[in-house]
Amino acid sequence: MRSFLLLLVLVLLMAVQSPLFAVLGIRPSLLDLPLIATLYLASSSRALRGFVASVGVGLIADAFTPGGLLGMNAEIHGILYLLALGLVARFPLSRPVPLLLVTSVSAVLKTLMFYLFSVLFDRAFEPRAEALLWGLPTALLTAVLSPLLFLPFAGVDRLVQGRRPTESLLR
Amino acid sequence: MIDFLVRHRFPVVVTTLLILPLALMYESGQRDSASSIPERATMAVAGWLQGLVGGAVGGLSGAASDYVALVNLHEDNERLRQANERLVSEALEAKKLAVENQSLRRLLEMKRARHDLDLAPATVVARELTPFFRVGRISVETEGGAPQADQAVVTPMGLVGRVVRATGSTADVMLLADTRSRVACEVLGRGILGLMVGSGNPDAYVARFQVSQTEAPLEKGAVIVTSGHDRVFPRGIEVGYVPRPEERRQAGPFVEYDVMLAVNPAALSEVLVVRGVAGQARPAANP
Repeated sequence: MRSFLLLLVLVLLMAVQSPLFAVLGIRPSLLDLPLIATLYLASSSRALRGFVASVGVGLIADAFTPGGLLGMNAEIHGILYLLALGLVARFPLSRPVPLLLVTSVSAVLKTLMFYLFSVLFDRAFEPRAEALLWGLPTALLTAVLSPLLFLPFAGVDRLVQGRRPTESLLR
Repeated sequence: MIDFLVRHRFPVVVTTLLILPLALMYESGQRDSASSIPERATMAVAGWLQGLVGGAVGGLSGAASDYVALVNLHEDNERLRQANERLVSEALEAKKLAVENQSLRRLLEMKRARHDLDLAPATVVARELTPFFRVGRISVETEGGAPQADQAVVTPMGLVGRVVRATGSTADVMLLADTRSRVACEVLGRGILGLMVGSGNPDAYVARFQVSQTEAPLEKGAVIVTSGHDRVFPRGIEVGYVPRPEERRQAGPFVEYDVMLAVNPAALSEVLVVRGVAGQARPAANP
């Protein structure tokens, strides 16, 4: 139920992202909401449930990403979840600085995996090194805003279970 | 067996859920333009939702701008508030209608001018959500045939891209700037043939025009139009122009020019899908 609600919130946020950013004159691809959802799951879920939900997050990202290969985001988010799970023990994601660091690293890894999988599976993809740089603005903005972007997902937890996994975020 | 699966459920589930997307990716990457059932399903749901939310956000944005205008007027002059409210509201509405009218008139003019093309109007419902691809999502409004893969998408200003995936009335359009985009083009008035290749640059809407080394150098402002040789894009649609021919460079056996594309997709809200060209049979989806 909790995972379903978290995914539902992600779907709504992603559906709003493109038209809202268009109205505001901002490029919609500057914010990586699925990455935030995956990190939130890693910081607040049981390992197996969180992993399954993260793959769901990836599938949602695939559905909302026109032009990508179906399954690419699912694979990337599954792997990122496992990596984040390992990092959570050392870097508590309920604090802004560790969250910022982990988000930055995850966003860069996501870019690298996107490139790698595109080279391996997308026949039309033209491998060019500069493509790796295109993900940097997204990584930076997502990392900077990550403490704020955690809040909608934390709100679901507060609503469903009364848990407050990110209450220290904005102190 | 069941005991083993229960005891090792974490590695089993993880392995399964990591292999499954790989298989999906492989299957999806093998198809050039035809969509699989999972792709069609996910796209239909996401496209419908994006269209719905896009309409709601547009409506709210209009209401908010009206509200801001009214609040300012109230602060400026209380005595004339009622009159100003009405006038500003009417002016905003008229301006909005004028812009919309102009846009629709241009579409109509193009439809009249290019009567060889079977054009269907479409609304842009979503833009790219990844920094790597330049692909937008549109919703075709008219009845009489859903959009199909490899149909060209145009505006009165020029070429936008081509449909790469379609389901129902929703279609994903690969823009000309996408690195995977290829369009057979020619230089207007000179007949020099070449290939337009997307640059992928997310900050500038540019592409690269590749021509044979044996061709004469292009002049500044040379207009590039579709040649129709790829049988995807109808001939004679403007693609862009060459702003700085002196910056041409060698790219394998070709000479490459930067091209400023005619259509900036960031400002697009309505486009036309080319459903057919008079006297030309539709090419197979996977050429």
